[in-house]
Amino acid sequence: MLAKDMVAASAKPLLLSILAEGESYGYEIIQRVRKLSGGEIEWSDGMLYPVLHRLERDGLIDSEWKEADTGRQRKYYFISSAGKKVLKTERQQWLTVHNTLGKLWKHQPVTI
Amino acid sequence: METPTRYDLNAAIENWRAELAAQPDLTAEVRRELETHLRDAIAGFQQHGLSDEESFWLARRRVGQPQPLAEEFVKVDPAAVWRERVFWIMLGLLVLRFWNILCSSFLSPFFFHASLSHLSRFEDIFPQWVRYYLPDWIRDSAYTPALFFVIGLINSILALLAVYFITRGKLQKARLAMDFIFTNRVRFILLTALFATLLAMAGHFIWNSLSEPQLHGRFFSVMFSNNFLGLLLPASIAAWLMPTQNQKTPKHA
Repeated sequence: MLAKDMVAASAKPLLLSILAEGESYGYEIIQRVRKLSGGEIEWSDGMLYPVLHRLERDGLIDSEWKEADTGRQRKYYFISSAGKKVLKTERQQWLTVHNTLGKLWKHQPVTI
Repeated sequence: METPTRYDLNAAIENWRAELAAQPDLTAEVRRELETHLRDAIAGFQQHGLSDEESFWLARRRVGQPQPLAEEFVKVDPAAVWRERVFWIMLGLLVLRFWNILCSSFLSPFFFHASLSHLSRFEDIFPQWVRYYLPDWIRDSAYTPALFFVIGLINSILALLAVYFITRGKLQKARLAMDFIFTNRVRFILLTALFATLLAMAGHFIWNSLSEPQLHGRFFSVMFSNNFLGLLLPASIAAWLMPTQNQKTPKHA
């Protein structure tokens, strides 16, 4: 299981990356992160929303209530143009960390 | 043999909703969103073969305790709850103002004719240099007070329509302009001071150009305070306080 600090630090790039693929809602985002990380990244369901709201307040994502296939209303989030720019920067920063650690640990570097 | 009582999932969700509602820091929209999540989680567990009761308890556990949740939301946006409250106060003030002007518009001919009957023509409230440009129908109008309040009525309808359209996501430029003004305290104070100065200067200019300053000045001060500041300020604040996406929030998630 990933350390709490790492989970917190990676929340922003993870959320922006998921929403860059297309609009999504809280429950789906959590399921996706769980699946992608093989259960290593475990977000507390309720705590996801304050993070989403913070990103929305910062103008990185937008939201809209829409009717889902089930007929119920759901709040969908999608990335904004400002969010795409921030994601680009975040990606470069995380890759720098990844490559640096990779070199130290004799792994192959990853390029954008 | 006893028949097991069926677990009432809806009642359980209702109780959980009441627990959330007891947290004053969770806005109505946040509560709806959390409820949607809870229902999604319950459906997910049910698909894995869990019973209603097990699904509810697991989903509830995943969503978390209401109080720590509320604390997290306060950290993100400490003013969120107050914004919502002030919005309703402002909207209430605006509607009251509209009602006041509506009533005054009907009563004004009687009220003003009793106290200011010597102002018989609409053009009397304008300075001499403005009267020259007035169309004949205004210049010759004998219902000064009535027309004066009809203008106020039109203003309030326009203000209410502006709030409606801005909160529905229309008039984006007006909303952006309000974001620019209201999102910074210093900017808001400076712009309000500038606006008040301009109003004072305009009032002073008009006052000096009136033939009977005391009499006409009263009309202009009423016009500015009642129909302009009295409407524009609550209308602007109400429109700005209600985020666009909140209008898209359904009654039941």
